[in-house]
Amino acid sequence: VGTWRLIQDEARSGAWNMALDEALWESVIAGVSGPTLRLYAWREPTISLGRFQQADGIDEAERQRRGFGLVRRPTGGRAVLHDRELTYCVVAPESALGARGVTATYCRIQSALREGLRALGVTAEVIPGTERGRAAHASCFALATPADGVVAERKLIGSAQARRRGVILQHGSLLLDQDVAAWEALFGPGNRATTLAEVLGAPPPPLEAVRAALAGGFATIWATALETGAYRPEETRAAAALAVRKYALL
Amino acid sequence: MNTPEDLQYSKTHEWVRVAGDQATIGITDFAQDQLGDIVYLELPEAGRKLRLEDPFGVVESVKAVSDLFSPLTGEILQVNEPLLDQPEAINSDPYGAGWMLVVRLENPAELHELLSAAQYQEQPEVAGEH
Repeated sequence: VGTWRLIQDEARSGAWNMALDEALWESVIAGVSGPTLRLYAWREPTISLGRFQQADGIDEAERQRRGFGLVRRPTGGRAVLHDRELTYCVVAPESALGARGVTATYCRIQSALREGLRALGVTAEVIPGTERGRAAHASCFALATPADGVVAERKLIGSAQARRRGVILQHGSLLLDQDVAAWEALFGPGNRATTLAEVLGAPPPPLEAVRAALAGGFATIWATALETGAYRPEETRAAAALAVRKYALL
Repeated sequence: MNTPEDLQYSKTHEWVRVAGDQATIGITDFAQDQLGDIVYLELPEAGRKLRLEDPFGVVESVKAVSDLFSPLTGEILQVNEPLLDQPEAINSDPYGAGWMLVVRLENPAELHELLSAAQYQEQPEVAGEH
């Protein structure tokens, strides 16, 4: 499997978060960097839209009133409200994942996420969703596809993948807790999410504990040590350009 | 999985049907099955020139966004416009209604680099060896 780089990143704006994910992706495609796991949070609650998603079904006035951010992801799928959550991002050639194809790579990453959740004391079974099809709902957390992690038919982790030249960018959101009132004000009824707090029946673990557990889950499943690292200077430069030219605009 | 014998294939899961100096391009049954229900398709406009291995479009399914790569060099003669509104035809009929582009071949020698149906099926991920 080889060595993985682990970047435990700080909370950043939506534009920077997406720009850094894409900069890592380009860097791995170019063969400059090896496979990377990035764990991060968001500076303010932010809605991320799928790459081709129209913003219909999201109350824009409500978003602005609340001061929530808005950004478009390089991956597909529906809108995610990033708030009280941890986002993971895996950037790797298929060969480094030891799996080929969309389904197999999802399974591999889900195994690592499940392992991390076990370490946090989640005893409930986390399984892939079974729903297929074209969601009418604007929010990612209203539908669970095989890409997602589901507990008792409610979604705990929502994930999305993009593929370019055999290199995968997959990121996803693990809910620690949720503000249902904010979610419904933005998306309307239909919330099908669950959270770590709800699954554990206790206040959610501190963000640092969740970061450590997920990193541990990946290390266990990859059977490799993750080397804690930072961005290369060229990755930061590429991200700065992408943040301004691409992701600051919707 | 359906892999018609009369087509040629790229390692990136596009198929090519050659007729004279024109080639029709789409994505394989294996690719659509891997992606799952396709919800969005982006294609270039007719008249654009494609080079071998250029990205020519993007397909989004409920599971992944995937770039499409040109298996050939040539000018785009036709784009399957109705498919943009009904991308689910890629799932239901990848080698028929799911065609994407017709290209005028500029370098027929590139066809020799493509895979036969048997060679395509022997690729590890297509054969199901993980």
